[in-house]
Amino acid sequence: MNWDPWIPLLVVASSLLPGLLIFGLAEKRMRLRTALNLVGAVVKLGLVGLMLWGIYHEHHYETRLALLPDLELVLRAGPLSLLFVTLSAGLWLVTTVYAIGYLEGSPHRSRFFGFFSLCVTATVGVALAGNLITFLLFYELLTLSTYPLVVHRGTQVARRAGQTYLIYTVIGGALLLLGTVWLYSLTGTLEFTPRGFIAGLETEHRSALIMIFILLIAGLGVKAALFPLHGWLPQAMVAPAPVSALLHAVAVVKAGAFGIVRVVYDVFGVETAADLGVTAPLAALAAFTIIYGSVRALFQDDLKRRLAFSTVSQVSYIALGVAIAGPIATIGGVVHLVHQGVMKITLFFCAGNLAETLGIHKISEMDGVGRRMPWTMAAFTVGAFGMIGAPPVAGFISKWYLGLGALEADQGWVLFVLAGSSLLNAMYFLPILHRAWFRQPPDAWPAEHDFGRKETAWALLLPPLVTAVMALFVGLLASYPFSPLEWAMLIAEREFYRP
Amino acid sequence: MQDAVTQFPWAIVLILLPLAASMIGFLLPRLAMTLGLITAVSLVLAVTGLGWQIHYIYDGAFQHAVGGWGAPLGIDLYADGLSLLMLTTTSLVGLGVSVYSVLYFERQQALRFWPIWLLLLAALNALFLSADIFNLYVTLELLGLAAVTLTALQGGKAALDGAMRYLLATLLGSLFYLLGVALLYHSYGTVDIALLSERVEATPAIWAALGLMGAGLLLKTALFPLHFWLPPAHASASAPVSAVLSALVIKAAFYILLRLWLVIFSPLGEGAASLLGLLGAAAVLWGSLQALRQTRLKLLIAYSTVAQIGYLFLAFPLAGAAAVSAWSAAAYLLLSHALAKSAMFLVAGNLLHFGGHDRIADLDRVVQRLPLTAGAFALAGVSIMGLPPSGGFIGKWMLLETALQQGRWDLVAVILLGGLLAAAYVFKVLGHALTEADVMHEPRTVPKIMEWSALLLAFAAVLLGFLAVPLLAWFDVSEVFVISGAGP
Amino acid sequence: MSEKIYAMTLLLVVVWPLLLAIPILRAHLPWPRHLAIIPAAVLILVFQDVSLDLDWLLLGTGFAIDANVRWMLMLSVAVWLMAASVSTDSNRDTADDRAATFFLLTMAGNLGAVLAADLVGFFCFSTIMGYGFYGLLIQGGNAAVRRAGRLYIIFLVAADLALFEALLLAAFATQDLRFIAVQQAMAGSATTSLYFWMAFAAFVLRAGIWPFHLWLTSLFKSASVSICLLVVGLPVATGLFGALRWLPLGLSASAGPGLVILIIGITAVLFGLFRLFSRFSNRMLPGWGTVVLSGLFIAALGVGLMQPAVWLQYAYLQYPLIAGIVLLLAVIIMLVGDSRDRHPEHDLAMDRVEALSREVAQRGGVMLQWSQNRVRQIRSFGLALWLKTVRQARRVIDRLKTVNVVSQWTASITMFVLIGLALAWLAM
Repeated sequence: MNWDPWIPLLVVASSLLPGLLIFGLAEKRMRLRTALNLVGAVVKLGLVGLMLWGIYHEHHYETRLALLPDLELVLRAGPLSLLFVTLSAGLWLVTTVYAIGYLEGSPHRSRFFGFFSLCVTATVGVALAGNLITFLLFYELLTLSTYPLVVHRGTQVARRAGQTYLIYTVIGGALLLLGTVWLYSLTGTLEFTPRGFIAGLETEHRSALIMIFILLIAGLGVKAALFPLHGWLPQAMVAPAPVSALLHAVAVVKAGAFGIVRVVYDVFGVETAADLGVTAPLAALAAFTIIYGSVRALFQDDLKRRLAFSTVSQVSYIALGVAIAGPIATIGGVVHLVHQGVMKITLFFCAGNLAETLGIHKISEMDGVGRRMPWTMAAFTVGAFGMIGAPPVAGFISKWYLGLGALEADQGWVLFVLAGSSLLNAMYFLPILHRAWFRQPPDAWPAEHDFGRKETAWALLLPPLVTAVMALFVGLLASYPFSPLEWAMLIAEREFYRP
Repeated sequence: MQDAVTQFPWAIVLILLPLAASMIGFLLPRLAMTLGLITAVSLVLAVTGLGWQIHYIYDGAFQHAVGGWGAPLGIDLYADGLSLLMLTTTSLVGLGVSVYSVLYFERQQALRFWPIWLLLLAALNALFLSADIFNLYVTLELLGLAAVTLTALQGGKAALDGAMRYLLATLLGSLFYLLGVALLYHSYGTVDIALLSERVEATPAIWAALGLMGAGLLLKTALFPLHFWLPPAHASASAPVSAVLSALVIKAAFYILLRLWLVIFSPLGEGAASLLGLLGAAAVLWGSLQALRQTRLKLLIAYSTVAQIGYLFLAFPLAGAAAVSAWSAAAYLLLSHALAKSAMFLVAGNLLHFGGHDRIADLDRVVQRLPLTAGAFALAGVSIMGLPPSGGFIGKWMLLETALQQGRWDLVAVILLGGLLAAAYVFKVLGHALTEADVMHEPRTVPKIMEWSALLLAFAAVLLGFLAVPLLAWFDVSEVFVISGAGP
Repeated sequence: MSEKIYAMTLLLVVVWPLLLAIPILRAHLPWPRHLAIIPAAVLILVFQDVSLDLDWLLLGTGFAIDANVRWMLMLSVAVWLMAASVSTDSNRDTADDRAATFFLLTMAGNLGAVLAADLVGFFCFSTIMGYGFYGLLIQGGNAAVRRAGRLYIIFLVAADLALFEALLLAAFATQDLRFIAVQQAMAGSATTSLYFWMAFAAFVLRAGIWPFHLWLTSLFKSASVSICLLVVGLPVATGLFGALRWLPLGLSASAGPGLVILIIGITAVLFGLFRLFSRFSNRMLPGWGTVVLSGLFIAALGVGLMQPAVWLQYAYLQYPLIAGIVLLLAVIIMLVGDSRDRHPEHDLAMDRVEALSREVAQRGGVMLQWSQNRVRQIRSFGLALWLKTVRQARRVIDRLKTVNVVSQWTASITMFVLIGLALAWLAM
């Protein structure tokens, strides 16, 4: 029997089923829950690996289910989908291990892991979506499944943060829905096609297409934290660290950025979008967000909030790369999806470690932490240098391609934005590193948990180390075949050169 | 065996079984509950059988003359795609509510609940199978009276107040409807819908009839601004009764209006359609805003019903140019809303049972203590909000598509705004359900059956999101134009 | 066969110190700092040009050694050996353990930068070297050294930015990023001047050339011998060396810029000499000497820009000359000894710079605070307006709701009749 059409569905189901089962587990069935989680994660990773192998051998993976009389739910594996799916699946495994360690002893773990799994299901669905309506479906599912994670702690503060999160994301979803339906009424199809599927309509429906673009980008920009739609992100930091890690690196923010990539490449087509004149404002907005996020980050004392604003800034690199509308800038934007994910998740894991092991939430409390938790801070250092753009960590590669792409597309002003952003990043990351490594530690940490001779629990220590090494290698071995960079080049080639 | 299935008079069963069970229930109260459950399950089977018959035996419409006497003198039973939709809704919601009610009511109340509930089911089924407007009146009256009785079942001043108000409203509506029937009969000499559709012409009598019947039915459907009786009735009725009221009873009036509109009144003018659309839009906005202001869960859900009914009326102005898609959207919204709304009311019942109150602000981490109930509310909420994947989303999508194709930006804005407001009040409840409240209450345990029936109803609403293609073919609303022996 | 061994040695020169930098791996090795320099020493003795292409590393880079590079490698080996001998050598003390980590990391960066075959490799390893050196400064120095280190890192970050921009410009102009190819490409292309000034600025900042010499001289006032050695060997030497390789010299003439640079160079030399002799002290001899040296270098650069032919004529002298002079400075440092960190001199210039920067930061903070307040004002105003409208609407709705049964019935029935009439009338 030909399994190929079912593989994408199985990839989605591999976290849906464990999630539903976990909901039903009693609180104390810890081993079973852990087993379900890990089995789901490993199975998903295995299936993704199968798809990667299959694509290389000319297999075709596509699942189609009828949704409406003339629209289908489509899950398809193409280069861009696989890039995001691999990132999600890999980072989910790491985050699951981390979450198991982090929530040791916390209440409501079954509920947490249930929604956790649903969140990943939605992310993978977003990645594998083959048309805009499937994308919309899983995108909204992502909102629904991340809301309980944000309000997990159950306090009034959490509830209000969740409220803010919802206001932004539900309105964004409504805008996205409107754009999608409108586009459908104009074109009659919503399939993602390289170079877009609105060819031929630019002449007669010009203003409608521009409005649709604005609606779609606004809807996606909420999750991708484009200014001024980023307001929910710093507030959502009230959630536990694994949630923040997931939200920022893998799921929500990435889904928004991924959506922008999809809309510009596979719905409108980069050249058509440039013709319509919508890429220039998008580039300007992305550039502004980059600088704005970094400036706000400079003034935060809370570590997670500083990292949140840093995310606001970094994700706009992807939007900028897309909006510059050139093949090399495309490579930079797409590859930054992976690079930023890996670097940011490292930083959040470390922040979570500091909070969980020593009770540190503010940067001013971080004096001398490097002596007490050297491995964690080493991982943090790698992530921070990546953000600054110092080689050989991955961030350097993305900035390289973005800058080169900007030069190639005659948009030299982007170089200033990149330089300014690197400078600001240095200004708010280097002092943290300086504090951690070179200052004297205080007499007592705010709330220390003793782990004996180890720095902290293994489940908390391994994930950041793994992702830090990944960040390092992804940059160091960027020219190696099958690196994310090579993959991004393939995607750019499909978008720009194939007739 | 095959013949037994195909030739069996499923339509008759749909009416007679609950009627008989109700009678027996009055006489032998102790058997009432068992009979009720058996009836509920049988109804689902019967509807499936009828649907099978309609699609594979008869050409999309089923007609049967009771007692061998046909129209214009006798009573005809008629079932097409639209009727099938309503019957399916009734049977599914009926099953869920019946299962729920097994453990909800205390002894004394249960003895009185079941016979009347069965009577209501019989009335509903008969209404959906009627083929003439006088029969519709009879069944409508019966339905109204049964519903009022169930509302008053709770006892107590508030319940009686609400029930009284409901009774007066429903009688007023039926009265006007009857006047319209009389006018039509006087003008055209028949009450059969098929025959009327042939004979109807644009005369003052028809206009007056439309006015009278329309007003009466709008009152019974609780369309803004004639919705005033609905919230008080819901506030004090018991949960299963509220579920039935919101999900089924007002839909029956809507069904009649729709049927008459399609067959008799629609050629008459789009001004009326615009008015209905306007009232529907106002209902959506008003109902949602009011829902947002409520502090009690049941009132919130009641106002949500007011809003959701408005959506159904948005199809009227759109149907002029794109009938099939507009009515399909309305049909899907109707079905999803019935399932989701009944689930929500059952959830409210669970919460009342659990904590003794339904104040939203004091919902105190319900998610942790009654996860199934909270899950049911969340899933039902997803359908109400129109978020994917759910039946509500499919209906909303189809409505939006039709509106955009006709350039009706006002309706698009209303639909989207309604969705946002719905999200606001649903998440208000969920937010409180996930957080710790200031006040603690002594909880009582909620039986698992009650939780599961609510959850399954809500799950069905979500499942509808994936079954659009087969269901739309099954409930082929375009066939509603075809009545055997008559043209559109 | 020997080719492969030489290539392996080339790689080992950089990788070996990197491995030793990891604390666990050197736990049981004696004299790790000396050990780390062995492959480099071996490589010097191999009198042939070796190159190793590593296409998979970063964006496709490699290592190579030729006659010129050999001079710089010799200098580096000498400096590192001297520095290693002077530093304390017990690896049981944790603080010293960290110092060793930074030492070895910086060594790896330095050697990698020297041996890099193209721009990207140079950039990558010199960044590692720069940050590693910063770590050394903060770790092993007294308060004055740390202060100088703060200024150093600001310049380092700015220099890295400028160098990255220059790198992008080069990459835009040519695919092949090896030094010769870049120089040839940049000699004729349109972005030459931007590239040139970016790279020039970067190396001036890196190497502490006048007028950005403050951290350099203040280090010489108060740092230990090993740090002083490393100052001349690392930022200065590698900076000058890098400038030689990055800047497109000797290929085309540009008189204007050349003259400007010549003047800067001469000013630096004069300034250095003046400060050296106005308050002569042993300890500041190498410090101001460095300023003079780099000034001379800049002047030569200027001459080279104005007269490319002259530059090419003396091309064979450049590397040995730099290596020799830096080595001389290093020897002087060793001889002068380390009375520095026992009697650190108070640095007025640094005080002034710090006060200035503090004031700038304060002003900036005030401005930002002001703009934030304005934004907050606007936001609260908007919010208040919104709340007022909502409250008004709510009041209206409430008034509609607080009607008792009778009037409600009246209203409802009226509405009812009206709708009926409307429907009838609209049907006409």
